Amino acid sequence: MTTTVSAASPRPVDVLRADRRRTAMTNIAVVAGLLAAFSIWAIWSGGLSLYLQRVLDGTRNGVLYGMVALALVIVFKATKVINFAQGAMAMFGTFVAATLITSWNLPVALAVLIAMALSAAAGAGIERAVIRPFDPDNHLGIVIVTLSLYMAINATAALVWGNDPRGFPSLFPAGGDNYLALGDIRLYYTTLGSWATIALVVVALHLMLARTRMGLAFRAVANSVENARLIGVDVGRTVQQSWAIAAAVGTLAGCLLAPMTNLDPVFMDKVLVYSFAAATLGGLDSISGSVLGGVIVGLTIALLTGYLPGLGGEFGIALAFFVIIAVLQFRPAGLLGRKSQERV
Amino acid sequence: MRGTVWRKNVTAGAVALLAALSVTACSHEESRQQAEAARCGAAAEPEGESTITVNDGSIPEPNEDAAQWGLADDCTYKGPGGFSIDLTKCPDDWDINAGITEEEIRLFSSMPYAGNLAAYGAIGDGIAAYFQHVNDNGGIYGRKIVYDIKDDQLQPDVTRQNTDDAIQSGNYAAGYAILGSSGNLAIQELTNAECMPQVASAAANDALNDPENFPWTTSFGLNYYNETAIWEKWLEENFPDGATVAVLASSNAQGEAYINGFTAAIEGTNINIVATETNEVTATNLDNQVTSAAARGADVAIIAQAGTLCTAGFAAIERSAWDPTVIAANSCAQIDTVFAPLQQQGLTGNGTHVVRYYYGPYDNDNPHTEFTRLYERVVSEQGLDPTNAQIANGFWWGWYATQILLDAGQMKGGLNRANINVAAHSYDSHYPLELDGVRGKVSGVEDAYPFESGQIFVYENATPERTGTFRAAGPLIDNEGVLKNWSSIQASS
Amino acid sequence: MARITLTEGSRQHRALQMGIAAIGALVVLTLPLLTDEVGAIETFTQIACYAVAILGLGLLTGYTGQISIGMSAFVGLGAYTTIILVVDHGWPYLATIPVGIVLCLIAGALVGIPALRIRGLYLVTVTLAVAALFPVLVHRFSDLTGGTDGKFAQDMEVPTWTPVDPYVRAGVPRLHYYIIVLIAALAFLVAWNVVRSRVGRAMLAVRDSELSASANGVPVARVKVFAFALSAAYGGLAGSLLVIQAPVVSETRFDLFLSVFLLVGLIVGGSGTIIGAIPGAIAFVALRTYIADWTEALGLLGARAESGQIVGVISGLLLLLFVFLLPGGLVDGLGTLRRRFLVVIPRPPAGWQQYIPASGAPAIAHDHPVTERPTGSRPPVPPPADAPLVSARVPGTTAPLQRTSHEKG
Repeated sequence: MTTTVSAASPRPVDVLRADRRRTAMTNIAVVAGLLAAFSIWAIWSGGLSLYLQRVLDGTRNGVLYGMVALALVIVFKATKVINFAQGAMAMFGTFVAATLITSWNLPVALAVLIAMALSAAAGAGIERAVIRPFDPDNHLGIVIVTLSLYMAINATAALVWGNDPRGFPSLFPAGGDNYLALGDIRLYYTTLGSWATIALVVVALHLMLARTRMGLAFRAVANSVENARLIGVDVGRTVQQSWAIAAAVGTLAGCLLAPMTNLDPVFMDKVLVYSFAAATLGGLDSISGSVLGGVIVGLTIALLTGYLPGLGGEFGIALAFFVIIAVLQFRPAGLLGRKSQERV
Repeated sequence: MRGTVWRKNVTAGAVALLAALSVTACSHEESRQQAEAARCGAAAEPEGESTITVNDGSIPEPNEDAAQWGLADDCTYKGPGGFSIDLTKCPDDWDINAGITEEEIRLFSSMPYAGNLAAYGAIGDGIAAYFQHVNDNGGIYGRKIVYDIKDDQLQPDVTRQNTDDAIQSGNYAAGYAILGSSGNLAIQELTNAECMPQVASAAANDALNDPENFPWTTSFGLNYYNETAIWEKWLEENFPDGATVAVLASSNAQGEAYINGFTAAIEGTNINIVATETNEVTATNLDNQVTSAAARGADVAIIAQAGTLCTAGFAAIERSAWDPTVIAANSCAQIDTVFAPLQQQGLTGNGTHVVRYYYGPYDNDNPHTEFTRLYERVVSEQGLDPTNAQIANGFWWGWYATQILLDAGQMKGGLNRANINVAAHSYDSHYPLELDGVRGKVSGVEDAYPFESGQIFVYENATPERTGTFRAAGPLIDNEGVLKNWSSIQASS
Repeated sequence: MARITLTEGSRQHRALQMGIAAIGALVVLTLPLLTDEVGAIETFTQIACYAVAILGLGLLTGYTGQISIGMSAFVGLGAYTTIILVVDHGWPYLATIPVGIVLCLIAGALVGIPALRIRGLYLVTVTLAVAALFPVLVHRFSDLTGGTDGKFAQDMEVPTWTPVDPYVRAGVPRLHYYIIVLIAALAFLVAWNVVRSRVGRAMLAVRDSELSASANGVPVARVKVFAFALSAAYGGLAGSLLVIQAPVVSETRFDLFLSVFLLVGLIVGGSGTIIGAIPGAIAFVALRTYIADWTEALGLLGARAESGQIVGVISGLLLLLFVFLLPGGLVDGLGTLRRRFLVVIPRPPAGWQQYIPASGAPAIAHDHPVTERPTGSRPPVPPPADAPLVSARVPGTTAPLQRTSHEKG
């Protein structure tokens, strides 16, 4: 596609970007349309407040899936590597935060920040030690390494902290009365707080990518490793930074999820498949896509299991599975991802 | 002259032959008797007094009635409630004293020590801790209990292999508290064919209490049919005009058992289930299910879950605008592991009703503080965490193992494996942390379920800063002996 | 130590191969007779079953380059098929094996179809979802599968006319061992033949470079689907054999962890080889069964319930170790060791003289270049099978270019 600059059009148009935006809009419109159609039927059959409550439940779950998916996407965007150990690393970080809170009596927010910093360091260390030696095209090697990390980290957490589930305090005011009443619906501050945090993280990441040197290096590496190296970007360090950020985001996701589900070595495994579905649906290299994908997955599960009788508890995993296969088969770029996924 | 010599030779030969035959015939008889003795137990004497040296009620006393049971004749052992086992059905090389020596009684178990359900493996630690306490204070008629636990990752093929190894080694008297429905069901035929006592299985399946078909297998814990029957009775009393019920159950064997049990219990009453919501056991929360149930506006919510999902269910209901009467499964009755985490979310769990038949050591309404202190001391001395509810459960299991072994020693024929099995079908004991009036009692074929009584309690007075207490919300309901055994349950349904 | 050099195909080489095969066969045949312990015999049998599963995974991942952690679903499918047919419909065990294989062929092909467009790490994600879905399906159809209670059956009946005495305690496990080893040996034979056939070479071509394979006329799509179907069939066979060994199933036996451990076994054994499935299976069984027991016996970590977790830590570390130090697995390591003492000179292909230019040609290198590992800090993709007869670098394939340039020049 060529761009003709004529006297009539004063500025060259970034055609690729416009094209991408159009595709993204179309995709979102399709999904929104489907959801809208279903919603109309749902409201008509069950009433508005029940519908809103279900939307709330689904979004609440979905946003948390999306946050774990976000960690996955950060790593994938920079390196094309899917880190199967992301959930395990997040779980470990959450345990560290829990230990800081109970044994050292730190306030919750401080403990979470320290745990995020420690996770970032650990993520950077892991990347340097066991990921960097591999050629990124050596998929088998990378899969083996991340799977072995998954096993080792899970087992170590169980050895250190035991398998008994424990509670985790919420970062936001929690309690039976701490909600915002919208008619019949209760919007708890913890939910609002999680949404705000995630929105903040997404905005921060976008700003980082667009405005900082690190972000520029990141985008260069994400675009093409070879070219980035040619123009002098320190690819190794950039990749390491992406792992560090992903680890921190994962730990934050774990700390937001843990108050809801209780903390034990397997609590992240429960959302693993859903986060993969969310990341795939949103587009594995799109940051906002991962959260959007998570929300759509959560919403769909809540609405479908709620309104269609006969869809029991297992429907969730089956849906996640279906989403992964269908998206990768028909639209591998997901909703907001770049279409330049390899086709050859 | 030659004829006489010939006849003498023949006679000598015949006499020699007869002598040889009679000798070998005798030795066959001897070894046959030896084999019979090994299998059926020669007339060993019952043990005398218990050798337990402490008198603080922390270790049970042998049941005096046990002396009436045991070896009946030849190879048959009998117990109360029509229980009898015929040892001629056991393998030829079965040794009635395997695993029992002058110094030791050896028991084995198979539990998950790794993987998702390793949390339950802590029961083994609790049992071992109790056995240590018994061993330190005189032991079972002077013998120490040795408890070998093998890891099976909750995989029934590994359970089977572990059981097979234990049987073949000839080193174990009985299997105790083998964990998991699939594992126990898978080894049932094996243990019964090999006459290996499969005592007090830690499994959620009521089919394991079937002494008519599987006389060597028993299981432990509150039966689900009983628990749901207690709910039903309480609901009838507190909702005389009927009630609508929403059931939130896991889609696993336990959840299904609760659904089936409760449906059977409310048949013919004016209590109706208006919603049944299921969830996978790996669900992160029960928000979707509670929203759906709330939409029906049921009067009562039944939470048939375990572990963290109990907490999730309570939290979701408390957050919603729905205000049902909440009844929870007995596995949710643990303050520290289920209710305490609610505080971190600023919730309390107040108003939850649950059937209890024993106290957790740290429950606020537990009056047996001395026993709790002893439990704490014994468990901490072994480096274990006394607040772990599974360890507390293990301690309770250990008490009953001790009761069974002590009773077996008093029976006719002495302390041997057949009597251990008879004792597993005849105990009648009260663990210090059980509610007053609750007894663990089995009686042969007539009463195969040890715990059939319970009381509804309501959890209250909790705040986000401190846990609450249980208050009795109904009388102790005693259904002892009502359900008989698994065959009779199946026949009646 | 002095190196012995043998030419491939020579009498000594053949004698050596026969000798090794004979020793191997002897070991395999007499193993269950050496011990009376049922547990040990059952362990040997399990090694044979898991070797079949790892072999299937190796055909897919090692030979065709499609990484899959969904194998546990197919093993489970085969196992559940067998036990449902045996328990609910009274089929004899061996008759259920073909049914399981056919079902797995179909299921494998179905999973393979998305794999046509999905590659690399995306494919791993899809197979992860497949493995995670299997326990859910078991729950969903619990009337058929027994759900969380599992399902169990009577042991398979054994023939009484063999020299092995079935009435001894160890008798039935022994006969099961022989039956299973026989079937496994057949499976290995089939795999060996597949790998050496045109399809096998096509699989290697797809693994090494899909683009050039496609350009060379290899039907990439069909090869991939075939590989998925074949490996699923092996998985299903392994599942049926596992049920013969221990006729009890539950979904905990076929979960995602099984898939991951099978992959561990594959890497430890050697991912590009047929024979590597056997040391891989030994490592697998050792990890899953014995490590926890040994740790407890040695009193490490105390006797706490969580001490079994050590298996996860050791598996993870072992895997990392192998991937960095010995990516070709034990087979590759043993091969390197072997090459210190014994070198087999590969036989040139038939009719090689026609490719030698008249002016004389450099002698064919003595040491096979394919198996040398390039130096550098990065461990490479596991090298192809050390099979002198089959190599992508056989001089003949580049001949047309040489001849053309020679003619022109």
